[in-house]
Amino acid sequence: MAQDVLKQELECLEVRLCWVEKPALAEGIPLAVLIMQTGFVFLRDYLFQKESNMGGRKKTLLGMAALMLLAAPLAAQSWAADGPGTVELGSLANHYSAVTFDHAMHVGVAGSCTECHHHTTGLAPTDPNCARCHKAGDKAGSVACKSCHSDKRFSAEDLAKIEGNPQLHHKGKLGLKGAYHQKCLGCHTAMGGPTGCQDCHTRNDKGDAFFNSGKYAPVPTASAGHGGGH
Amino acid sequence: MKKLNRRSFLKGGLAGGAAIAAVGTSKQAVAGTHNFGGYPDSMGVLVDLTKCVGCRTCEAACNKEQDLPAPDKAFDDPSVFEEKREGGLPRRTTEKAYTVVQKYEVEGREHPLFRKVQCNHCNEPACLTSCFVNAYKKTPEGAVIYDKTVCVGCRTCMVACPFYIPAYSYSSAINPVVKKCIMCYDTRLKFGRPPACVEACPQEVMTFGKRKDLLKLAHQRISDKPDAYVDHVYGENEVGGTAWMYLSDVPFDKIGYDTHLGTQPIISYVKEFLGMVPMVLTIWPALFTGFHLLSNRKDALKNDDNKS
Repeated sequence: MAQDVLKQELECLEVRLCWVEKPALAEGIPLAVLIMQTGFVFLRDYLFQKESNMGGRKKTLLGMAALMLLAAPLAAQSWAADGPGTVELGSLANHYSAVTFDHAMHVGVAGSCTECHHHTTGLAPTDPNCARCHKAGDKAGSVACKSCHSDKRFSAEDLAKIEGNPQLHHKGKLGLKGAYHQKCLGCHTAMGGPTGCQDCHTRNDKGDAFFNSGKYAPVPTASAGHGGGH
Repeated sequence: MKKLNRRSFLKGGLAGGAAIAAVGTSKQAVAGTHNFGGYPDSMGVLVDLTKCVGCRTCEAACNKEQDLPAPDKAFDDPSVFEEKREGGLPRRTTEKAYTVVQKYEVEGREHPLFRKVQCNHCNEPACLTSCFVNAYKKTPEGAVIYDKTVCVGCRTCMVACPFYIPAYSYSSAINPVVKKCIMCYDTRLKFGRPPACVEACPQEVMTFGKRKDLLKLAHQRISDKPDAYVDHVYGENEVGGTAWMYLSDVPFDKIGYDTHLGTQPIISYVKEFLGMVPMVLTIWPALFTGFHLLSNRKDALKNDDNKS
């Protein structure tokens, strides 16, 4: 049992050390800002010194470059902190097509990253039930849903992992499909977003066959409505 | 006091002794009315009704997994929820639909409540109890399965089931048999995999696992969010416990559940009576023989006196 706890600790450490590009960039922002602003100060002094031999046009060009340099860290900051523009959610695509998730739009709508990413971004959770144990802390290695929510929920391995670890919290953790739907539909239902199945992912031909819908829909016969037992 | 014939004394003594012995052994059998409680590692399913949105993907999955005939309406057709049977009852399981979703409009609840109905795979099933051809079997994995080649189509199990689940193939004139959910035993549960409906559900309304673990999970969910759930796990103790259990935010009696079933398995209503039969068949002949002999003693002795 102690071995299992150790194994889980090591796995956790592994996840935290496995960096994705964006967090690295986010870490480097303060240093980049410092360098650029120092550069800007030197440039300003050079441009505005009284005894300058530089022509007017050259000064304007340098001035514009300086302004762009100043703006760069701001732009970089906003891009790195808010994540990707769109995310293609296709790992579970079967009866429906993949979902093209507009991440940028949702960043604008959600109050904070914790609304969807729990506290994997390092912020403290807002749900008081979670805040009982989880405080603000380190970022997780990956904030992607699939890094924690299994796409093979209830498989033999999944059940064995849960059963084999008596110390495990969140034994009822949702699988990936359940996590997507409960998280997305939960908010959409409360805030008036799309709630129909095909609003987010169109059904493909295989799906139509599965649901006996579309061109596979049963033809209503005379006996329909009376069959089905009392 | 009249002289007691040795033969009649021995007869009486033997009868009395046998009666006491019979009472002793069979009373033990009758008094052992503890419930079975299911096999220790049997699987179960916890259904969280607060999460169901009525999409009927579970019905479609069951239809495909069990090779059922095509439904009368498409699985994404919400008009099925308005179908009512005699007496205004909602739709039920049929020979073509081993599981159905019912819709309940609840006062004060923003959205309707959807309830998935299928065999609850009781620990001590009433259907199994009532079947006189022994077609039903409670497997160690937890599923209650049946052998449709053994079934004679008498429908006694349909009467016995407190949840009205077994359906009947009325469409077959030659060989109608009973049909119900088998928890995908043949194709999935035997191999440790969850039933098709559990795997298909997009909202993960159903959680598959060992029944004893699911009970802990259910009570933990209730204690984590006491405002979100009614403090009762339906199926924990009803009719001796069922493998499929339910959580709800609406009181169960308002959404079609029978809350007056009691905690005794259906078999316990007949178990004691039937258990007494051997004892009765042993004691009564001996007892009444004794009475008969005693009551005729006077005449028997008079005959002996007359003879001698």
